[in-house]
Amino acid sequence: MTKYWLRGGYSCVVFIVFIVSAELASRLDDWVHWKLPIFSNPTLQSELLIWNGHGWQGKPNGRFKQFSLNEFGFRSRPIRKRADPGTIRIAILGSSETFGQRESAGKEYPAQLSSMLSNQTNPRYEVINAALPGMTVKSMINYWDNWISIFEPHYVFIYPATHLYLGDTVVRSTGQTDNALDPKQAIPFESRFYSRLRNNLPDSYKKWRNRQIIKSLIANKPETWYIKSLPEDRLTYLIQDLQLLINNIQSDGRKPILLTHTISSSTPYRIEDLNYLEAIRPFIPRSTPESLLAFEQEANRRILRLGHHCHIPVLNIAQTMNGRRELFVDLVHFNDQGAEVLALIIKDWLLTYK
Amino acid sequence: MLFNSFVFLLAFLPITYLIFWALRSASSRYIWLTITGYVFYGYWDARFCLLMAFSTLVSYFAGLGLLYFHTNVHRRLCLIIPISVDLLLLGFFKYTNFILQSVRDLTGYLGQSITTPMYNIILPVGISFYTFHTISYIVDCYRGTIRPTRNLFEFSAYVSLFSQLVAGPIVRFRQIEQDLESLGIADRTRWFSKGVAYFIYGLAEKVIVADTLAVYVDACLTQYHNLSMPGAWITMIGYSCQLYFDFSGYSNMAIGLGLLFGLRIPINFNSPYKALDPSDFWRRWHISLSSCLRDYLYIPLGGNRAGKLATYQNLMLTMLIGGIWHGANWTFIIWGAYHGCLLVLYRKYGIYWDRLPHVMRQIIFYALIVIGWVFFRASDLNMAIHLLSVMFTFVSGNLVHEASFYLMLLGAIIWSMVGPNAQDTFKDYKWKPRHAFIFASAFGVSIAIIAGGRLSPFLYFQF
Repeated sequence: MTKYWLRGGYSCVVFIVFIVSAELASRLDDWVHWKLPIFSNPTLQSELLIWNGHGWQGKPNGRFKQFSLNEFGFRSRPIRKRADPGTIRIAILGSSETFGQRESAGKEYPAQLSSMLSNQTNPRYEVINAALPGMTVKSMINYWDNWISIFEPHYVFIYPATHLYLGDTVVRSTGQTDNALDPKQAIPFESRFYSRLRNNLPDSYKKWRNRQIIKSLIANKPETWYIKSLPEDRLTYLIQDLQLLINNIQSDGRKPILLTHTISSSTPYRIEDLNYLEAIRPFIPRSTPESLLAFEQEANRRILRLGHHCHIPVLNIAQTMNGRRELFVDLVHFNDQGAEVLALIIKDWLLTYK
Repeated sequence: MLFNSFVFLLAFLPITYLIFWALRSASSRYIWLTITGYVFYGYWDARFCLLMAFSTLVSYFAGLGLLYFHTNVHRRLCLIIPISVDLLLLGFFKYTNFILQSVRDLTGYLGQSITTPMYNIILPVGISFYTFHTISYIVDCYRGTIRPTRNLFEFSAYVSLFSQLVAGPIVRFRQIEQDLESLGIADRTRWFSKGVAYFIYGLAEKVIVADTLAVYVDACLTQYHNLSMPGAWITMIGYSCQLYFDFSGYSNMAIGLGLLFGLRIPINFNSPYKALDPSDFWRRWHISLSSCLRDYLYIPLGGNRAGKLATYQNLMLTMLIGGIWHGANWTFIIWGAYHGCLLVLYRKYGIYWDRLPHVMRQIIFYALIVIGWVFFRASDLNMAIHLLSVMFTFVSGNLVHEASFYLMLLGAIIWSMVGPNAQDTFKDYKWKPRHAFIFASAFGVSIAIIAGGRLSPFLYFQF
């Protein structure tokens, strides 16, 4: 009996040595490759975002894994506060799709646009990636008013993450801010080794896990909780926020350009689109795939109408890119090729726009 | 399927191991090893399993022919046919486009340009290795060194053994014949701890050292035009360590896997950067290949028995073929010729060289190896020439600025030039309980790095 206890104890100690070594190695590896601190628990939000009292903005010289921000908190090359004479400055406001959370480093569409325009000499162009992950249009208003406007961009492209308006942290018309992260909330400990292992789980397990999360989120919810028809209130919030942002940009003497929001699914969705539609569900549990697609379609119609009403250009990229799975890694995020396509559309518009 | 991947470590290996030892007879174990070998190979590209099966069957039946035929004519046919088949397969898949491109370039240079077609030929992974296995088998059978096996599955288990299938070591049938014969009565625990030790040691070499160096070395070589003189040297020294630990790591993992299944696979590296001269180097680097080239090419050509000039000629020819074997590119041929020159020069002036101090010889010779690796690594002659010119002229440019890279590089150089290798470490290996903590630690570190997503294939897979 004692022998079995000793063996059991010995095996436990060996296992603990394995886990501790793996955890230390994960942290050391992160420090070597990404300069992440070894003994703290950095996240993308804690390392790249700061609360400026009004809203979120990029942390100056913030760095997290492959993401690095310049001294002004933008995911762009170093810039001056004022554009050089003879240079047209472009700022792009958006969420994680614009920030470039899923593309290879340097392949997010603002960076690709910058490369495409680097040969232009008369005038020269400078692109600022002013997007931040999770940013809604409401957050962009604060961001513009308190920070981006200082840099006096000539053109301000607005790529709104319309699907965020189906989430539970959507803005209210009273103007409460929406962002999920409480600045005072402590970041809980998470094992870096466990995070690495999680990324290597087979797709079938990830899909199963996703279904379990959705089940827990929608458990015991009444029928009225679901968004089954077009939510007029949320569409109104989106357009009101966009209108306010456009007004603020124009009143600062800058030129806003809207983009419609594009997704990898077609409408109606195909069988192969269901994976991506289900994968996003934990973020917008109330919305079914059908209501999400209907919302996207209607939101884009209203964006086009808003542009017409405000006499500002609207690039209807949804018309070009919707349903083209080969350009996306999930429902909304581009892959390198998708980012290139979008960058080309913007570049072509810029060079022909008078 | 890579040895350092989760699908191998958590699925393929445990299942293969458990079922292997659950089977009781040698025949059933041969069949199981054959099946798992083809599953392992098919994971890369199932189409090429047929190619390997064809090569295996041709050599197997040729071996049977050598058993039954006694006349010279028939025996020669049993030798020539399988070797021709293997060399034709290797030649077609590996060298067709290279030959056509070379003809086009040469005729263009002579002013009589010929348009040659280029074919979209996929190089089957491991073809250079398993064709060597079958060729060495048939030559040994012809010479009477071994008796051909009548058991098809024993032979196919030898050819398709997953541990050395895609990147060596090149194992001759005679080297594991005894272990194969006694597979039915093998003791699972006999070499278990040594096998685990070798495997984890090799995994650590590959994942911790080679893959970490690769991140910086590959980044530098992608921008090789911008390297400074010290940057070029440091990058190539980094590459020399990356290549050694990558290949040595793979070979040690293969040895460990063999031991887990009751098979003793011969060592492939013996601290090559401790070598003091070219001959010493080729007794330490890729030992399985160099010994095959010696036994099946250099010695049949006459070796060193026909005078000095013939010896030099044989050395050059052997090294040229060794270079060509590595890949269809002029850079590999030049690399082979370079080492052939070093061997010839050592033959001629070795007595003077041997008088130099030990440390001096080791350092100078290491620098000569690094120069050779420039051709080995370069994608074309232009890149090789540019790198060499930068290494020998004072140019400014880029240099790696990461302290972690220099720390790792320093550790790798010290380990490879002075430290023990796997054989030294596990020479008279006896399991002790505290070893479990060392292995658990090394394994944990390796798994953490693998899970970080910087998985890279073994460099010798391309050959």
